[in-house]
Amino acid sequence: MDFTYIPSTCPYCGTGCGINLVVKDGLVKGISPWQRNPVNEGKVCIRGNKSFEFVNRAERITTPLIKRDGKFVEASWEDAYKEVAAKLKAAKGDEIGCIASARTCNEDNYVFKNFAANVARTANIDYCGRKCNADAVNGLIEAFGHGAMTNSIADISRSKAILIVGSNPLDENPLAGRRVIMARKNGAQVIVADARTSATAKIADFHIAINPGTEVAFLNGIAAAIISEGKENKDFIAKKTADFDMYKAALAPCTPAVVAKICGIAEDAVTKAAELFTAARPASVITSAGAASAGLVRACANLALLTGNVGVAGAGVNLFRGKSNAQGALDVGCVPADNGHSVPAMIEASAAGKIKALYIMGENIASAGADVAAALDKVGFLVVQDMFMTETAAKAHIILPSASFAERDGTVTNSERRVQRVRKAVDPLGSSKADWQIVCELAKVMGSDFAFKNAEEIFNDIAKNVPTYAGITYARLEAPEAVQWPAAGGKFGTAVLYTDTFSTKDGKGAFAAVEYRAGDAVSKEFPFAVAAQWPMGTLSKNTASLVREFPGPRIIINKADAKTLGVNPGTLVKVSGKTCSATFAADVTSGIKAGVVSLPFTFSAPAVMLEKTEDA
Amino acid sequence: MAKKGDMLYAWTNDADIKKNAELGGAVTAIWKYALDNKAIDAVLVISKGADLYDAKPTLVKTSAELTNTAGSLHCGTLLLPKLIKKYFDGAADMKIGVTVKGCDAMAFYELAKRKQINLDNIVMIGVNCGGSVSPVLARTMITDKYGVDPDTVHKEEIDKGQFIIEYEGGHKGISVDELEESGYGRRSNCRRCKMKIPRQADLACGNWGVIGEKAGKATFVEVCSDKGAKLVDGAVKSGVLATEAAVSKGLEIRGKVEGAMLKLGEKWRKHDFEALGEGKDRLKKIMAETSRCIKCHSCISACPICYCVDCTTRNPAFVTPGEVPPNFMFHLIRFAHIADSCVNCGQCQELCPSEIPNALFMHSQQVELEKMFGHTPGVSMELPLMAYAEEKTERARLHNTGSDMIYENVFNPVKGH
Ligand SMILES: Cc1cc2nc3c(=O)[nH]c(=O)nc-3n(C[C@H](O)[C@H](O)[C@H](O)COP(=O)(O)OP(=O)(O)OC[C@H]3O[C@@H](n4cnc5c(N)ncnc54)[C@H](O)[C@@H]3O)c2cc1C
Ligand code: SF4
Ligand code: SF4
Ligand code: SF4
Ligand code: SF4
Repeated sequence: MDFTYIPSTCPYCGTGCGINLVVKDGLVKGISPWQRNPVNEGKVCIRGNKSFEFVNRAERITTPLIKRDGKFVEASWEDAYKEVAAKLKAAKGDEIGCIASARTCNEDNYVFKNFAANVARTANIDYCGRKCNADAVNGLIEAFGHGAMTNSIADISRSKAILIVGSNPLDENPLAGRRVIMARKNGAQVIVADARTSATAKIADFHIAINPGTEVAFLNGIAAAIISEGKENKDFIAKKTADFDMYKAALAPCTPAVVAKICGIAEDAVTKAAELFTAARPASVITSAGAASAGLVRACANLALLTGNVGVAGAGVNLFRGKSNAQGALDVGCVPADNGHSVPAMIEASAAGKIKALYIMGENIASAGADVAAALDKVGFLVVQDMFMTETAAKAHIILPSASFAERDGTVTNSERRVQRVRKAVDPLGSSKADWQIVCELAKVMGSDFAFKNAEEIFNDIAKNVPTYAGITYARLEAPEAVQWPAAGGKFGTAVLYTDTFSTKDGKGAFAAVEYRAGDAVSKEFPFAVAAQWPMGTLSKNTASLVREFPGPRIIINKADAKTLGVNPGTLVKVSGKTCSATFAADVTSGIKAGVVSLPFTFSAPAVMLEKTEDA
Repeated sequence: MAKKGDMLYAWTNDADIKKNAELGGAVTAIWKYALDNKAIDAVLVISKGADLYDAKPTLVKTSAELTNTAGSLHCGTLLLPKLIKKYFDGAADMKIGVTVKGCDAMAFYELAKRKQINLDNIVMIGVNCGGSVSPVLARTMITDKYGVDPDTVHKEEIDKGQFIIEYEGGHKGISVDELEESGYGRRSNCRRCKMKIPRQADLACGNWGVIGEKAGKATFVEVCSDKGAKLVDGAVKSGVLATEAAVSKGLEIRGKVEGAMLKLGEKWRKHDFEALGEGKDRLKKIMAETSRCIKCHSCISACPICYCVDCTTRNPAFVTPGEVPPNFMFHLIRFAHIADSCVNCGQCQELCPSEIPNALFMHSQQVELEKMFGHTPGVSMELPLMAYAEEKTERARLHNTGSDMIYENVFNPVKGH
């Protein structure tokens, strides 16, 4: 009997918790705590705890599948590659779209990007995360220089004041949320702005139930209140930042009264939040790249600059990521080349019949909404690389089965820029293969030999070509600390960015006026504002323990609203927005603001109308 | 011929084992003998993973692989018995040798009582245990309190009340008391632990009581069972181990150190339990802390008392699926099912992402239940209270009290003990 522990990284969220895969006789039998990992010290959330279940699931796709007469038939790799190659070759570059993945490894995304550029010869490359991550990351790049969390997850526990906006880490990124709990134990004041009394709101010292989509107005209000009290960090602003006066002028209309009205809160909530945030240092802002409103991250950056909370442990703008490699896919360059389409643009082009071939690696974009699913039907040729028959894979003409995280080597980069190893613990199921291997083999069939023999060789190429990864090697990643980019910062890289200067062109932190734009606000026709909740993804749906814990998408509705509508817990409610409608079972609670409902963020409408259909 | 109750100094004659061994290498030498002579099919021990802070369970089937497993890892906070239940079918048809700390030994008995482990197939060599330190905290401690890069440390040990490191620049010791006062040091359950010499194992090995020129070079072995005596005899006969009787001065010192450690454990219990308050206050504290629970199920997966195929906390009638934090019933279920047998192993606390002092809460109830009903978990095959509960009689008894409370007093320390 063989029994070993193989250290790896949790495949779920961007916290990047370390886990040990328990391997017995060539099969992954469980996960065990890895106390030595500095990110999570052996602790995991329920997803991490069950992250082995999907690996051996019978529903895994184990051979290439080609659709013939509307039905998938098993095929050899050779035939599958030949057919994909022929179809891709028949399309012109700008008729091809390539969608990378926030779930697969850096190595996979890197070769995929090269494939798009050099084999498919298209500028249309992006990754799934783009839709929600682009604004977020660009905000950080423009303000500070790097498109990533300024600080480390662990050092949040040193914060003395924490403002959480557009994020519910206790639910979404639990092991990052743990650091908020630790900070609170160390005396930090925790402020949470959320229409829902989320798990995080429940541990807050001060919870402000702002209307969904009004986060920017709220942050501007806090900033204006800080300035009007003269509590901005004048020294820091003078020495380290640019464009303050422009920013200050733009904040003039953001008085507590105006902001309170927009956010649906009391006036003194704004001033109190400003007071708490400036009462102690270091103070940090936490947000996530989820369904937050545009400009949110930049507004967070403004607040950090205003109070001089950048460049020290326990401070900063801490952007949590939903998927395990949302950071890495971006780092290695899976973003549109010049004039290339982003994911939303590719979907639009697909709907218009302008995309002849679409190559999707490890993402289930069809689940993002009915419009996306419909657009995929218009694509002439769809090839999907996945472990499971997702809604997207079901629409494919060819499916190339990929290996799970337990069956391959690679690296993923968590939201704090820590590049960590994923290790091959067992052989791939059936004839499935690591994504990078599939891409390389396909490239070869199409006449380009990438000549990578293993994941490490690809990584070395990444380190050569991606400046922030320079100096990182697999050998350095053997330490459980691994390396936080930029690697030059020290033995384990850089825990806190901008301790000296910013990485912008002029070395200064850039303020920007971020205007609150009222979305499609609630109206008579659509009287309920929508707060997004995280949906179940492909991995969770294939994990029995999680399916049991989180049965299906729900609409969360306030008790009083439910009463008015005659909705009981479990009642099926028809939800209609301007362009979409769907039916959900109701969760009735006092833990959400009246007039607001919460829906999976795949249901994209800012305001909706509700109709009771039946009691379940 | 060794026999139960013998107190020995023991050391190995195997040069490779000696090199890596903590003391006399007795533990590893005996495993070598047992494997070579097929007294067991495999041993499950702790060895170094990425570095000396990374304790990794390792299954060894041939004695050649044993040498790397010698030596003590004080950051090894793992609990091995649950792994045997989960991954080795409870040792149903495989004889496994395991090096155990006190908490491991206790967990074995509790799992065996619940028929989750076949103790007949388990050989336990116990190691005395002054406590273990969580690895990441240990590294921070070495950086902050010792001013030393933890990656330059090649040995750490707890000796004479000090946590000592040997590193490139020499060695340095700081008293455990001082470290613990500043929030470092042993896990909080270890501070309260009173299973310092695990005599419910087949052998109990340590350094306490090894004096004179043997100090640091021999392992003190207390023979705790006939199985243990046979192992020692066999190992000596095979030439891999040498022994002599412990000197009386050594015995005396060992007794004193053990006594002092038990006193210290008692002091910490008093400190920790008193801080919890009593009765309603205690309950309120527990409710407030557990209200952060994110229902990760780690405390359940790791607990050696939990073994249900389908955990009651997943019954939607008691705990609403998907609700985070769960209602207090989640924790009440665990208290009701486990408190009488909690061995204070600390797993549920060390692994809790919400930083809830779960082990403290459970342990505080266990000691009260022990006062009430006299059951000490983890030391023998004696069944816990719950095993004797006759549901019908129990319900009738509850009915007659006019209350639906099973234990009115668990949050309320029993006076006069
Ligand atoms: C955490 C810890 C604390 C200890 N504290 C004391 C003490 O206060 N007083 C005292 O007299 N003795 C203590 N010991 C025991 C002592 O350090 C020696 O392990 C023992 O004397 C056996 O020595 P040896 O040379 O015969 O063992 P070796 O031949 O070196 O074998 C050591 C065995 O211990 C196992 N081991 C190592 N780390 C762990 C771990 N974390 N958990 C479980 N098994 C492990 C190894 O796998 C190996 O089988 C402690 C041991 C540990 C692990
Ligand atoms: S917090 Fe994220 S990375 Fe950590 S165990 Fe949970 S899902 Fe995995
Ligand atoms: S609980 Fe006791 S036996 Fe277990 S590691 Fe801590 S001190 Fe040692
Ligand atoms: S380990 Fe902590 S958070 Fe997880 S279920 Fe147990 S008490 Fe809750
Ligand atoms: S309740 Fe906690 S401390 Fe007690 S036996 Fe279970 S895991 Fe160990």
